[in-house]
Amino acid sequence: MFIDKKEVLRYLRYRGNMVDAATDAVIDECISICEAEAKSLFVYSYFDISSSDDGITVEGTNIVLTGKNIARHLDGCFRCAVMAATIGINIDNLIRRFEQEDIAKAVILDTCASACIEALCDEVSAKVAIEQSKNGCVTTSRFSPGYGDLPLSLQSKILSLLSAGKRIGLTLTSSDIMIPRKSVTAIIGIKAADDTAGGRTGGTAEAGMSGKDKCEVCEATDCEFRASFTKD
Amino acid sequence: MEVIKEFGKRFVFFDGSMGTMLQKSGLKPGELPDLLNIKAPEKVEAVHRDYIKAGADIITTNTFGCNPHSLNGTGFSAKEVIKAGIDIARRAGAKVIAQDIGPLGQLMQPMGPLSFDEAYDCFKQQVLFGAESGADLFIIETLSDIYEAKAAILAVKENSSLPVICTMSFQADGRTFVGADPMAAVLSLSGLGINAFGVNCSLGPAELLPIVKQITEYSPLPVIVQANAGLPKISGGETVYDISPEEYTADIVKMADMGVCIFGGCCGTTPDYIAEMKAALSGRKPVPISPNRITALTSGTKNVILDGHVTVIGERINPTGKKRLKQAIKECDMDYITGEAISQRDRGADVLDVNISLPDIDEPEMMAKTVLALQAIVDLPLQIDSSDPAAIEAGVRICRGKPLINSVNGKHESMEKIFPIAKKYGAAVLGLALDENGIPHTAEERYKIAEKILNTAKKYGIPEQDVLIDCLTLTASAQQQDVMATIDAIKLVKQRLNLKTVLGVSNVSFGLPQREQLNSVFLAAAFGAGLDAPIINPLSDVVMNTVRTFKVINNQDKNAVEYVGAFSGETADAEKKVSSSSSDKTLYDIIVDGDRASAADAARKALKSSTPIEIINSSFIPALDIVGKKFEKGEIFLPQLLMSAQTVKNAFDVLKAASSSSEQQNKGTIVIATVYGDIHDIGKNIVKMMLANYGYDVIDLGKDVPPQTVVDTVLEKNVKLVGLSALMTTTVKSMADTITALRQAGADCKVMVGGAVLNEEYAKLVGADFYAKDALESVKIADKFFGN
Repeated sequence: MFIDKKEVLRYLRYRGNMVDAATDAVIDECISICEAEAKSLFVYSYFDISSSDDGITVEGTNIVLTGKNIARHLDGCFRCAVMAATIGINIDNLIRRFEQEDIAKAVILDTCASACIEALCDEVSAKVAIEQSKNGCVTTSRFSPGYGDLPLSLQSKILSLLSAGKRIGLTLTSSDIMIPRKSVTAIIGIKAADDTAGGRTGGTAEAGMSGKDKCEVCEATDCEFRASFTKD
Repeated sequence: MEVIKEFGKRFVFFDGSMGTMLQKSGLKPGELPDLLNIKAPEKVEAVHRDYIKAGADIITTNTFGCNPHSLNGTGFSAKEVIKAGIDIARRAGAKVIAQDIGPLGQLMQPMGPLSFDEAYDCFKQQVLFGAESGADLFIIETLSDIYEAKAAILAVKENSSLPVICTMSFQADGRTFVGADPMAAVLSLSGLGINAFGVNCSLGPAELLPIVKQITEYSPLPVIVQANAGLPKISGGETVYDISPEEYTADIVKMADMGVCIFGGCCGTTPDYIAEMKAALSGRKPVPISPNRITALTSGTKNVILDGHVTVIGERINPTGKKRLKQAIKECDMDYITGEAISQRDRGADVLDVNISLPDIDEPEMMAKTVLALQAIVDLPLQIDSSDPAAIEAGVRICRGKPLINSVNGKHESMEKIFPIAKKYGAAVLGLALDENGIPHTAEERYKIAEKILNTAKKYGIPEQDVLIDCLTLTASAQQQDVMATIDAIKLVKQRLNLKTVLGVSNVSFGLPQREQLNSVFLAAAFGAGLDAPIINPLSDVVMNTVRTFKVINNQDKNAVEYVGAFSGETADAEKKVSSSSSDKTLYDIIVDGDRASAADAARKALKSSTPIEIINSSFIPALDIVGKKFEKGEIFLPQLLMSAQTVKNAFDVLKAASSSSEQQNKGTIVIATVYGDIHDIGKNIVKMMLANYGYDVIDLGKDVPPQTVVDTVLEKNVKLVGLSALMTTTVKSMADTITALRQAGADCKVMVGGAVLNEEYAKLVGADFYAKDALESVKIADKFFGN
């Protein structure tokens, strides 16, 4: 896995500021550790979708996507990709160990791991976009349970749908927290390339978007991830 | 159970995938297949019948997810779904019914929320329901965590007399999702009394070949393989398994040649695969396996093989003669104890001895807590050390992996108590060469005791390679004439019994000057006699240099890489020390610079001229204040702030070790916790370090803390300030519940809260008194509250 150091610095709230040599060395070390220890585990599937008064039905499954935000996000889409990705439990274990030994290193590794799972999700999004472009379709950006008014409780249904426990070792606690910690589930909308009405297209271009751009287009203003660098 | 007796004598076949078959008959993706036992039993029965027709000897019930976690919210109980599943298998005409038990769907602590006891209880329920409904055996399958597998196996063994088989799922990198390799799995599980061990799911037979090979090389048990129908491939968003029954069987035959004797199928397989395998192996007999005889321990992810390797057992977690460790054990200060473990690991320990014996403590409880804390932080196998069999059992039971028990001895009573524990948990055991008459003077007599220990262990069914012997070191200042008897006894035990030997070395020098000198020469002599694993202090350079040197001589340290690294590193360190002392940085500067590595030395130096309180007030607090101000102004960033905080913590540890608890400053006691249901605690840990650095006594209750635990602690210790953290919107409710519980219990305390999803307004909403936007703010709140 490749980790973009610029992203790591941005998450650590260095905004164009100089990084001192000691910190810089630790950041480089943590990036290497993360690149070596992170796994690239993901699974996704395509489903047709249809909307009704209850929400958006994911055909062939027992899932109905509820809320205004996902409806707007998938506007114009006839299909979606449902994905789950994780960089694995090794990183969680290392962060926990570093917390005991050197908390600065733990926080930096945690940040690298956040950049890493985002990079992995971008890879999956790009894969989906390439596959769909062959069908003459474009894709939206990712939308995850917990964004806006899409309920977090959807998480468990997505994991079951994709057999994510068996396939990529991704589990959920009873408070809907995913473990390994650096994991993402998301829905990507798919629509005909000529349909430009509504929705938000990401497509292959998204892999090249910086994280900040991605947050700016996202409507989930109470997202924790966003708060980590736009708050204060 | 007839079929169990046939393992290894003829090929035995399980059925193949249930999920694949049910999806063909209309099960929607994402639906729990187990519920069809109630909703559409005829579909499940039809699958069983197809597999019986294909020749499966054992039918697996459709109960993979029948645990309280997976069934939560479905409206069905595990009991009814399991009973229905077993009834269906019987109706289908199954001759042997294996109750399927899958993983619980949540990870075990410390990775996830499940404690060992909770996992055990979930599995126990399933076992009891299945046994009363008429299961013939249990198959615990598709596990990734050997710790969860251990809980499941113990739940079977302690609550039923039925046979049990266990399989784990390995990924293409040869490890499970939680990092166990085949050897760790075999070492950890094969001693727990299971009837067969093997692999299933995740990969196709071709990809499983190298993993299966490793298992057949080390497993003393019949080996089972249930592969997928190829590697799962994502094609156009669908998961497909694309190898034919013929291709599948070609690799299965290779596995049969390696010694696998039980086969079945997993994802993507159908009755055709079972029929094909059965036909290909008909008329053949299983190949007997002859596993390698090795003495090895594992932490579950790190294996330590004693054969051909000198193994260092770190002795420092033992309170004898250690004031600071005694205090830590009494106060249940796990950070100190894990700190001892980290420093020993960093200096070359391969295994850690764990002895927490003190009068007036509940030793079994403390042993379990210590083992849990250590295995969360340090990835080394443990040596569970106590004279109390109950403490040994508590430690061995809760231990992830395969530990070494320290110790049993030649006394009848000792063997009678310790061997059953070693046998039940599959632990290795260290036998001391003494008996009712004490430590014999001669080597021959000590050898005799070792022989008696080995023979008795074998009677309990403990494999001989799991018995290690300590020939016992005597003190040169008191029994000089007997010191060489130890060396001679090691030779006898090695030559005549072929057992691994362990030796506590340091005792030889008791009462004499230059102890390290004596220890290291004695150690070298013991190595010469064949000692495998010294129990020593890895922080002693003199002794560790003897180890490093011997590892070159015995060809263990190939090309002397470790040796050269250690000694060239020392030169560099020495130079660094000279340069840093010549620049003469003050402790204050070291903290401001966040120079973590120099903190301890600088604190020791400062202690020569100042008291701990003077150091705190003249260096720690001013340095932390200036760093805090720079952080608030945006001149430095979070990593630098934390580096300075870590530097203070490292220095603080030195001050604490040097002063008695009565001399330590306490500005106020604060309870902190990450609330129930939330397991994101890195922020809480930063707050904890900051508060402690500023002189507060912090009681850290950890993460996922039930409200009642917070209430009980606050009332019991009469604490006036509580800090709670929550990171998820879903767990902020737990925060409100905890605060309500505190108020209802009449606790006279204030509560500060923090966490990513909180703000001033939200904090008020949950009933908190203060909102801390970051760790520095929590210190300010505490200072104001306690008037500091």
